[in-house]
Amino acid sequence: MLNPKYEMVIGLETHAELSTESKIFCACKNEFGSEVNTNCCPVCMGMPGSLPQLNKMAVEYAIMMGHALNCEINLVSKMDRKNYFYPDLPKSYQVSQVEQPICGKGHIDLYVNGETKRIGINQLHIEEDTAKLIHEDDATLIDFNRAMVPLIEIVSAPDFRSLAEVEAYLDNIKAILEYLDISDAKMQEGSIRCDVNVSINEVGATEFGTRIEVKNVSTFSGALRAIEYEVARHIEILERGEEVQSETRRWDDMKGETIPMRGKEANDYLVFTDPDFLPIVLEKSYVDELKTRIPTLPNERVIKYVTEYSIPESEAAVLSHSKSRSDFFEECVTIGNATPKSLANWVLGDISKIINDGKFTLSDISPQSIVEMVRNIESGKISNTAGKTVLDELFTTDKSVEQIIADKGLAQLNDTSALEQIVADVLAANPKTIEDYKSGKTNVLGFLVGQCMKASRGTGNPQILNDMIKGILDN
Amino acid sequence: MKTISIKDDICIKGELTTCGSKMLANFKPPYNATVVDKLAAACFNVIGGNTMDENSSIDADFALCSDHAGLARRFAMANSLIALKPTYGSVSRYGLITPAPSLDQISPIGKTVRDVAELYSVICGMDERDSTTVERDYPNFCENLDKGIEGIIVGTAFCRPQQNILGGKMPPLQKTIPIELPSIEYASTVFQIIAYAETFSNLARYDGIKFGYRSENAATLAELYENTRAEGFGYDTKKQIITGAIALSRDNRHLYYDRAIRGRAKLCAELDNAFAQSDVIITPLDDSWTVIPNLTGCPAIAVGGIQIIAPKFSEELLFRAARTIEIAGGDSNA
Ligand SMILES: [Zn+2]
Repeated sequence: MLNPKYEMVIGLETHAELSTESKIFCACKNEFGSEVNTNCCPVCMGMPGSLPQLNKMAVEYAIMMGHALNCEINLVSKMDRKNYFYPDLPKSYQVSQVEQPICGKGHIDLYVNGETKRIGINQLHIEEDTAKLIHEDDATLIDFNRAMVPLIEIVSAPDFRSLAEVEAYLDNIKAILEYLDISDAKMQEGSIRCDVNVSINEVGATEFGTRIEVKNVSTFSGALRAIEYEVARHIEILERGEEVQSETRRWDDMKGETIPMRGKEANDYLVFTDPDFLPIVLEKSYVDELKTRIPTLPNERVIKYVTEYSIPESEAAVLSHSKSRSDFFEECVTIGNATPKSLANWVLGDISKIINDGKFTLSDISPQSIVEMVRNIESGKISNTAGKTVLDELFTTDKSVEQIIADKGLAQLNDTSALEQIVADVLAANPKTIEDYKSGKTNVLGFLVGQCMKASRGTGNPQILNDMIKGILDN
Repeated sequence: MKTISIKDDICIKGELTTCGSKMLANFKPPYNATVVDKLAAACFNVIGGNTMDENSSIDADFALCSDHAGLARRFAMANSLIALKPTYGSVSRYGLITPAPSLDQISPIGKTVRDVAELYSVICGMDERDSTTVERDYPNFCENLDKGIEGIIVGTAFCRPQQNILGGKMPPLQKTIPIELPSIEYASTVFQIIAYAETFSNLARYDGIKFGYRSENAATLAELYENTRAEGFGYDTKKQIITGAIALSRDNRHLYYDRAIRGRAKLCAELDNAFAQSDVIITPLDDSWTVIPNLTGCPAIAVGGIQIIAPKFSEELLFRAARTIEIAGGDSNA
């Protein structure tokens, strides 16, 4: 899609709502989905004379995210006011950290298209969310439940050069928020939003092109589409011999296009230190203690899975993005004697399928039993199909793998004599398929093996069955 | 029961709290200011909604008033009362409708130093609802009132140190030394720039959308903002808001706001330096010296036509000095 003459340069400002109990500056409940205007008070409605109280938990969550992104943590930071008028902003200023944020420079390593890519973080800070506007035909209503919900804003360096990098970054930010258990990170509820900075330049150019900011992107796919749209628009402008104008645009997700918002000169927030707060002063020991609470993060796990366990990149990403699944997998690997790759296949495949049905959770099975089951498959004692039966039993009963194999008679039949009758029955029942095979459609062999596996309730060794059927038909 | 008058910028639940402005003509706060709760707990009879300026008076023994730009101290002077501008952070501002949060404190006013000390003892203290309040031991300030100021070094900041302060009624102080703040001539300008910048921001919430006055003549959102604010604010307030916005604007802040912040820091350092030589400083209540306590956060008391300033959290000493002057002035009804 991208004209090879040009290179895209992308920076992201990602906002995530923090899942603290209460709001960032008042005691109101921080809860999505409450009845409108039930979680509000004089403070979050910006009433005259009300004053903010900083929520320590929001500060803690921000520091943890800062650690996760390898940021410098500033032991002294301050709150600033960004002044502008809009009906969703009760005080007509947003409290944020512009001049001295809680977290400074950092980075995140991503695994994209076969290599590790480092994305710089310029800063990470806390701020308050705005109220939510509800547009009706002849009126706009305001729901203050969202006003003063705590947000972190993560400002990346302009380090992205492809959509794949942007996608990997957003997926990982979302996964890290889940790992740290500090955000619900549900894009459809607006708990993660993005502003996107886009510019393009000719490959090899020493300077970036003119930068456009796109606001109001509230889905991951929207972010990617907005970038695609802007890059195409910039190329078209440049190819016409014109220049891109610096401006702020708004993403319209329905129409799939960006529209100009306001001129740059109007974009002065008259920032100054909010006098209603004292500076945030942190103890180094506290900041260090928080660092010890950071688990191995999904982006780090992906790199390990790909390079050490030879798991394909896309599977490694899916596996690592759920902490519970990834932890379970790693426990299995630690027990040992089963290849990580087949363990990953089971965790991502049948185990995930059963859990996604909603009746069971990972706590219903133990890593030990899964490892034992996989060992039995790898040693040829049971077939893959029989493994699925074992898995079902592991979820529903307290039996050991040995017991299940014995009770259900799942031990693999490697003895051809025991399989002869099954093969004969299946071939007798499928004369049409045999004709197909003989006329050259040799891929029907798999179907016949499957039928035999089914008839043997998974106990047949598929490789042996394959050889037996082939032997009969080819003669 | 003691009766106290509260200025109309301190919130009382369910009572009109208008700040004397058309903008808040219909505003009844759904909550009490912290000081109002404290007064009620100390069994004061609270009368709200009073106007207090140089041209008004009150009919009560006690009063509370925001000391924006020295208003409480001027009001006290005009009415032969005594007013304390407390140390910044010693009295909760929760529920004070203030234009300039970094400068303003709620001031206790009374007929005697003892009244003021008693009132201050009631309203001071850490309040978790105001993050700028300071946690520390706040004593009962009435206890040591009559201890005198023997051994205290008094700085005097009058242009001519020999000037006969208090019309010859200057009390027998142990030692006085002349004090100067080299940057005092900029104090008033520094104060105005910071006050107006904060006013611009703090008054931005009056937009006709949620509470207070709303213009009837608005077809669009922009008109609602413009007309509400054009109709609701008085001339002086508009002038301050616009000046504040200019002082903070991208192109001008290095000329105005940033310099004012540096000027404020310089004045704080100069006052600290003065307190290295003296324990309290007696000053006139002119435009420059009136704003020094607001800019530096130090406490000050207006008594007998002058102002006494002390280092932060030295209210006890301040009351003793004020009481000494009160007695020397012949007022012994306390
Ligand atoms: Zn609230």
